[in-house]
Amino acid sequence: MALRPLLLTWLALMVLLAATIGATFLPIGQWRQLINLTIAFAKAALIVWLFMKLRTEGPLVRLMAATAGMLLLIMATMIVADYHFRPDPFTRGGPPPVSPLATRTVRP
Amino acid sequence: MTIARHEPFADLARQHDADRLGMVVFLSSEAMLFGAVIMALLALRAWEPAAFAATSGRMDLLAGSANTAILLTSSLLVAIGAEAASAGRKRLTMTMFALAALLGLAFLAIKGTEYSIEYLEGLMPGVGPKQDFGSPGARMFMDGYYLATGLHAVHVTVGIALLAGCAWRVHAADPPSAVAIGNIGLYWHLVDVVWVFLFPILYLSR
Repeated sequence: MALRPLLLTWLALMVLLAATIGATFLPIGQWRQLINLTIAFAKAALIVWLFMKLRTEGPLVRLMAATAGMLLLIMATMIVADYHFRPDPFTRGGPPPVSPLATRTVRP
Repeated sequence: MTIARHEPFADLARQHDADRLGMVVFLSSEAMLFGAVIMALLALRAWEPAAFAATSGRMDLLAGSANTAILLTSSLLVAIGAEAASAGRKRLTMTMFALAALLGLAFLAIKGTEYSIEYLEGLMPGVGPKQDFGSPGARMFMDGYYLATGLHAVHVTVGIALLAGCAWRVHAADPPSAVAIGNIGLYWHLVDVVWVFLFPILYLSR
């Protein structure tokens, strides 16, 4: 039984967890979001590759796992395109955007 | 527990692929489900950054961090358990899966405590005497929060049942097949991966 790689993976996951919590308190504005999401992908990659043993799987199983990733990537691309090309996206100049939520009241 | 080749497979490698493929297709469908929820949260964060950050700041960071550590550790135990199963060490598999199930229960206990505190603070949408969101975006955040964490908690519950059931069957000298033990482990790891994404988006977007 090779426990060493598993323990090292766990250790790496814990270090990444500490890093992502630490990054939350850094005064670097919205870069924190990028760092946190990058760390999340790194943690997920460690779990999928070493805990779920994709490392030792054959091409067929790897291809299926990659298909899931590709489909999610396509969906993410479409969502980003949708929000970026809306008439008054907040990401570009012009008048401040009106959220579709702003005109509604919260139900008590 | 070595796996013997059986018909109709020409060799062990192809048999292993066939054993795993069905589970990986199922886990991919789970990834689609949670991927959609996670992207909805990210879209809300892009659309209502201020309200999203403010409400994320009201989440209990300590409880969320503890739960992340608990799930990551339980994943380690499950990985060791699956490794032990393929080495034929059934007692170790049983111990590891039982401990992982207990950690899963600890996760649900902390999550439940968070829910009850949010209920008292008026952060549970449409439930309870008090509703204290401050803005429609905050209300949307909490809707998404309960959708995502609730769906995840259902999966944790199923995972605990699978792990505990597997541990019990090994204890009762009626162990599931090596393929089933491996697949239960894969399911638990996926539940962990989902939380790895939910944690920074819901708790750290402050």
